[in-house]
Amino acid sequence: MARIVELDRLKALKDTVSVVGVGESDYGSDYRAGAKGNATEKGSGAMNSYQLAATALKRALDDAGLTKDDIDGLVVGGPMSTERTCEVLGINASWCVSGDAPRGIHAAVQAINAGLCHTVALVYGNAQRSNDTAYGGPRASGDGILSYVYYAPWGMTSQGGLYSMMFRRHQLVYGTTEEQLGAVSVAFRKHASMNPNAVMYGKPITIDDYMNSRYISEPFHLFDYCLINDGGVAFIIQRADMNNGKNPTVNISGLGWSEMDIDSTQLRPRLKEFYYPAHRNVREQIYPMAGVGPKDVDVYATYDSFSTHLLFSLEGFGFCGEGEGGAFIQNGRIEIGGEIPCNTSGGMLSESYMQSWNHQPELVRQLRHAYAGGPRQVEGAEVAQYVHDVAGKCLSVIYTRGQ
Amino acid sequence: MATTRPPRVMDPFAREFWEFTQNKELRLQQCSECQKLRWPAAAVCDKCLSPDYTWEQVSGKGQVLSWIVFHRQYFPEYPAPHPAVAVELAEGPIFVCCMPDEFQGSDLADALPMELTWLDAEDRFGTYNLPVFKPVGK
Repeated sequence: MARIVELDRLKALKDTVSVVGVGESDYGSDYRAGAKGNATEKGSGAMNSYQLAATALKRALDDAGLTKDDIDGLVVGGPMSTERTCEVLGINASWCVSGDAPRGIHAAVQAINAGLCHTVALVYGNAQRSNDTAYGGPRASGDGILSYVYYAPWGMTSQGGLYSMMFRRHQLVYGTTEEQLGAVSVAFRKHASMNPNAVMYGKPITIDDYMNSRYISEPFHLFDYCLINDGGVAFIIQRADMNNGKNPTVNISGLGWSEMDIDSTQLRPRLKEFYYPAHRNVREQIYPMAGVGPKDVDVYATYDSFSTHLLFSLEGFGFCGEGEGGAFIQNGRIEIGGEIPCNTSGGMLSESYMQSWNHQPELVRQLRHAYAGGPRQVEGAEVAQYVHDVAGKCLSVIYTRGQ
Repeated sequence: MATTRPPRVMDPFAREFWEFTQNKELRLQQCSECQKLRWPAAAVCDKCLSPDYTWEQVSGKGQVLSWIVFHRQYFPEYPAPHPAVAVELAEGPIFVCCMPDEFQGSDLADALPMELTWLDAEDRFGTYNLPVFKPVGK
């Protein structure tokens, strides 16, 4: 289906909003708060989503040099309600919505440009380990039709199962191998191993570790799956002309959005098209808006509940050809120091499973050159792209370092 | 006693679908306006929004599009290892299912011809027959 997007109107939003503050909870130390420094037990009830969000928000405000009274718009993510979030955080916003990070960014940029608010806090908290949240199996089965719960009578369940089936199809069509895919998990783990706040700090893996790890849903190994941990993330975005200049300027320079949901429960968009048409639609919005192309992207992050999100999105966004992802991601190309460093914090596979939220602070810090002089910094990073390619939703955000 | 399986997602349209399985008939909704076959069952045609449909029996022929093998047990009713397969029906829709117990993931290959068969089943909505696919002639 043709997507008619008025590019001139979209381009008018370029650089109108800046990211002025970022913060998150202590992913790593919270995860290791179990007995003898081990991972906390699932279902321990130790943490609360609002507590995690509040920690992150306070840090983001401090980072921005703002107080909560400067906030007049709010985006609430994860399992939290807007009502309770506003109550707990003591914010009476003039504009407030629920959503994941990229949908929240899209909505907030539009709201700011519409004059509904000027300083928006985007907050997320999810005590999913403490609460033992299930993403597959009997406790994931709702009454509504969802592609990953519908097939429970046949024993088919979980987003992991669906993405693994998508990878098998990619293997059959393009000859991609498990060993090629393993480069994703190895790269992200390498990045996490350098990130003191990551759950998997100091725990690199090799491709042999990957290949020797157990299958969960073959062809997916354990390391193709994201973590399950507690955490909170917040970031503050503001009308660009109000930026107090405390931090190096990072602007929101590109936006794009395309859904692909027809016959989704049948898995047709996954197994027949790998969501490439949605990627192409977003590409045609975001790159012209930002005035850049894939070759200009210095640091890249993708939603990574599973390793394959990176493979498919690099292909769909034109970093390599469709079907070429397996070969493209080899030899350190996606690692810091490589041609296109991806998920440089460790992502959801190895830093923290914050369902799109943890990627945003990391990209902002890369563009601030916050890690300058250390091994985590992508040298000279000017353009960062986040791609959110999740179960029929494809959104993207491009950030650039301000002049 | 029929084999207990994880519960079906039930609604008025799903109920009609499962009723046909009592007679081991695999029928999908076909739009009376534009003839699009849809699966899973839904209130209207996603192509033309017509609420009018008939239940068309499909041939029970298809071919393998993809498959996985669960090595982690998610449901007590399905001990690991447990394969799941996506079959592209001859009529077009993709049907995701399991196979009879005697088949493994290693029996499958791209575009392998598959045929319909039935497993006995029971859940909190009652007893029924579960449509599944297996390699043709095996």
